[in-house]
Amino acid sequence: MADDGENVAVMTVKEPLDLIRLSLDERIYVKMRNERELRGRLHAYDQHLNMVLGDAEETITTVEIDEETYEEVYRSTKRNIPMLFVRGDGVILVSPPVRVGA
Amino acid sequence: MFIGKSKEKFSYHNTLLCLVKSLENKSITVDLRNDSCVCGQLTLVDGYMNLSLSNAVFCDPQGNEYLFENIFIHARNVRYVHIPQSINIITAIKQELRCNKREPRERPTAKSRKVQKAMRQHLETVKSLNVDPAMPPK
Repeated sequence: MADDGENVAVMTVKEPLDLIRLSLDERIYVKMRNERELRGRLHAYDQHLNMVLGDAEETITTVEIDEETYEEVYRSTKRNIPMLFVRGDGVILVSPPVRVGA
Repeated sequence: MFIGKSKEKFSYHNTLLCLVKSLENKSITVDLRNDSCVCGQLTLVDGYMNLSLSNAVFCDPQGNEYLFENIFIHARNVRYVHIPQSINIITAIKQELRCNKREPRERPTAKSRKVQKAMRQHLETVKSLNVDPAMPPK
């Protein structure tokens, strides 16, 4: 396998889910349905994109209409969960955390 | 042994369903798709990830709390399951799958005459090559 003597696991990307395997044990960003976002360390995932996230931070964005100016006001609420199992049917996308601290 | 149809068994053995299953008899919190949450003791998880909880408190988004002796949650309504911090997910999954390991199926040991003959010929060929096993390969 590793002919150069290094003990490197050979990673081959054959399907999209293999890209997520590259993010195992890394912090990731997950966009969920209903204007929810998650950031956390990816501990495990499966074919349905069920995931286990450690030190997860959930951001819920709600839009309210200001009654006087009729402007859209975005309000985000955050909460932290030490270990979270996420059911895959709510997942929209998974990416490296490009928007840390946004 | 996990009970269910073959599809359910497949999910149990091939997806993170086994992790949820390993939380059985533990007190957990489940967040639902309608922003409610349910806290209680997980009694049963099936192959579709439908959940049954006992002594459960259902909290709706308005902050009202309702106590249920038993509650069934359809898998579709599950958004998150909070995993207790006392749990190491790797050991939990290993333990869960080890408990439910199926006995390996009995394989017929008797080989057909054809296979036996081929094996005998193979051994004779090896012997005829006259390789000394003590000699290191050059």
